[in-house]
Amino acid sequence: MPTKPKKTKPAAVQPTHISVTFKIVTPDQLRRIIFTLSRLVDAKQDSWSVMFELDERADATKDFNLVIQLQVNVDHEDSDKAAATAKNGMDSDQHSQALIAGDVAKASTKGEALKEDAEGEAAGIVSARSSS
Amino acid sequence: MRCALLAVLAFLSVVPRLQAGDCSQARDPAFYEWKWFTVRKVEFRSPFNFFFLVRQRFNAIKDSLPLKEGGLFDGDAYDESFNIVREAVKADGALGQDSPLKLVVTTGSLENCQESESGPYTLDIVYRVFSTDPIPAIQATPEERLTSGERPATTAGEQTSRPNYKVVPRFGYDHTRRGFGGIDLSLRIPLAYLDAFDLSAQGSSSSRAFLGGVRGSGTPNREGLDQLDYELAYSFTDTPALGVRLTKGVVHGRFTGSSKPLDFTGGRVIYRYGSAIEEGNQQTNLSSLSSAYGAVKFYGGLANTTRYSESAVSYGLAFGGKGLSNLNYARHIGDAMYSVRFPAGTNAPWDFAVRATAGGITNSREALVNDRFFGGNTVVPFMPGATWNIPTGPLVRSIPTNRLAGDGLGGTSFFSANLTLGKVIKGWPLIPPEVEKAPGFDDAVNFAENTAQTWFMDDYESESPAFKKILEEYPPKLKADLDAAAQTVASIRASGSVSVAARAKLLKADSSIKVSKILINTALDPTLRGPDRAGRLRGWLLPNAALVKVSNIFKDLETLAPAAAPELKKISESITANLAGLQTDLKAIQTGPAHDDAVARAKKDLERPREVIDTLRRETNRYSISIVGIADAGRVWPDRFGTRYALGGGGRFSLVNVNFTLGYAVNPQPKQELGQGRGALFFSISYTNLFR
Repeated sequence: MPTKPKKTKPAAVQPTHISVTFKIVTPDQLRRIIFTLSRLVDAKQDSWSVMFELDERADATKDFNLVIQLQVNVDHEDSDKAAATAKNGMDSDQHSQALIAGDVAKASTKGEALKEDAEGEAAGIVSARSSS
Repeated sequence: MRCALLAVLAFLSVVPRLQAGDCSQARDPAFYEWKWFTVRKVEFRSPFNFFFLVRQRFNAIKDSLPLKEGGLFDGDAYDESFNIVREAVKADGALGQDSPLKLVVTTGSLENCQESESGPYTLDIVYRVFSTDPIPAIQATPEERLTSGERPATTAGEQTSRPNYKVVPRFGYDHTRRGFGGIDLSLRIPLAYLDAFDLSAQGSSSSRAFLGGVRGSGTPNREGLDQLDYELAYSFTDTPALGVRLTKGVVHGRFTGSSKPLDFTGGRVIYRYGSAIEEGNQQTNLSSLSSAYGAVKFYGGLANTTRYSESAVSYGLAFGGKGLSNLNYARHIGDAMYSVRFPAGTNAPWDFAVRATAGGITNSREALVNDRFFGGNTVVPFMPGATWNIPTGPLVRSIPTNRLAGDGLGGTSFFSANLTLGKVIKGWPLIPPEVEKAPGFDDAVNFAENTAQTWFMDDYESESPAFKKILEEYPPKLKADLDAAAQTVASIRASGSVSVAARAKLLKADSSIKVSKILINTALDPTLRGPDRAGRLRGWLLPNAALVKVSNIFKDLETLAPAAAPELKKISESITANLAGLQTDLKAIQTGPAHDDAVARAKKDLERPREVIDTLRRETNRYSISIVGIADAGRVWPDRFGTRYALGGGGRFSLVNVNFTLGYAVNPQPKQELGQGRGALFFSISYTNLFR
């Protein structure tokens, strides 16, 4: 009697790109922070990048306007922190740094800070991690 | 509000079925570029692909990608395509209503690589999109979740997308109305106080129904009135009963309000209330019973939902008569319902629902025939057009509509009890088991839950009096330090004898002082919320923080600008001391009761979203098939035949939490003389309560 072929379990997919976007509107409803952590995997290494966007509005009933969007690559030294962030979420220090990054990003659009400073503060969101 | 926003977070578990990743070099796109592979297919997978609008948006994104089906695979274009997909999905409100808290997880992978030497070399590019946005599609009122009616089956799609118009054909069969058909048209109105113009018309060989009007809604966001909806419409119905036609044409104005949810351990309660006024005429084929018509209605109730159960009680009171100036009788209707599903943690649960309704008319001798109680397998709602459904007659599913009518002219009081029992016999989980093990999925869930909890915990902690004290103490002190630092940098430059190394340090000092001043000024800005300002202070202590950098740069400058060394040292030490003081005070908060309280509050905030996530991951089906059994008892007074029963069964198809049930109910005591046969078909659309 012929045996029924066994069903093979599907192999786990190995994504080459993973992106996690977290968007939150501040309690006063006037600011929106969008934080995207992306991982690019290739045969040699994993590389991480951070996109940080700040939107604002003067009236909570109106649409948000883009203030600034920053895209920075995460230093390879911080890859472990980036991985820990993607796995466990942002910690309090990273939350605080995200707010600071928003302030500096806004200031850079007015010429009160350099764009490099703003990018540094955005990249600092990952390196600010204090917990494992 | 916060809990409502957090609920949105929960829908991150929208994950599609994964296919085998059978590419030998799945993590090395360059391999496939060098081997001249062709892109066979570019595919988007999301559990919400069954929404036309979602599919349409994915197709539009696909068209914009540099990688095309049939074209050569290119590693750079693959990377660029992923960025386009990520940004498009993140920004696209069409994939769901834009929400204040949102999580989007996107993955890209190479799959189904045809690598055999016989060729051709092809591969598929698969994007998986998990977004929190579609959660509005699975929100409904208790009555929408548990109702018998004829509403069309597009609700989930409607609630996810917001088209400018909606046209829905309607058709069905009922022994009383025979085969009927019609159309519902809804046109969005871009006005502040009105949402839509609605037009609905249906007809059959024995009945007619029409409704046309405008409706609006609002969100006053107050404890007692969180949501508000209202309607002004004209409605006309002409339906046969036993030996009499029930015809009614009225203009009605209606408003319904609901409170903010009151959360407690294990459940949440809202109370609802409303009022309506109607004026027109009501007629029958017996001219002596035709007259003008007027009514004023009041209704209220409570709805309670827990994770696995739902209950609601409602009461309606209508004063009616031959016109608004002649209201001389009152209808009272009470309705209670309860539903539960069990056991927990399974995709194939049982569900049980029970409903009891009763009503009576005072001064019933004056009651107009259209306001008397008629029963059957569908029942006229107390408020036509509203999603909150209070039945105005006994629901007995074995008897055709309006054929439970006493001696023909309806009753002056009634009761009915309904029981429905269901069991999922085959379910297709929203998140298949292999997805649970897919890299990135579990992490994304943890990322969202933990990040949200941290942000809310920090916000609560920053509200504490101890934090307010810190906010008053340190920013002014550090501002003074920075003013002194800026002056010192200027005086070093002004001294003229500055080395190249010192000049480079001074430039860095300028930059760090500038950034530090931004931080200080934000913390001192009285227009910002206190907790938002306080929340930034932790970041001042980080090793790469601008204030720390100023202190370190000044230490370095002591040797490079020896003339200013005492001043540099003083400022550096002052900044360091203030930051140390800030750190000590922050640590005291973080080990004190304010922290514990903040942790507890944030944990409570996340309780429901975590529940929702768990439900979606372990209990929700994309599609399922169930068997259903029903039992009803009901009667009107006066009725010489007493209580009637229904016993039956059928099948149910469910799309996420929208259930379509079709069955047949047997009438154990048919009364042919009252137009009641041996049974009747029943059809209903209901919603499963997935979340409390």
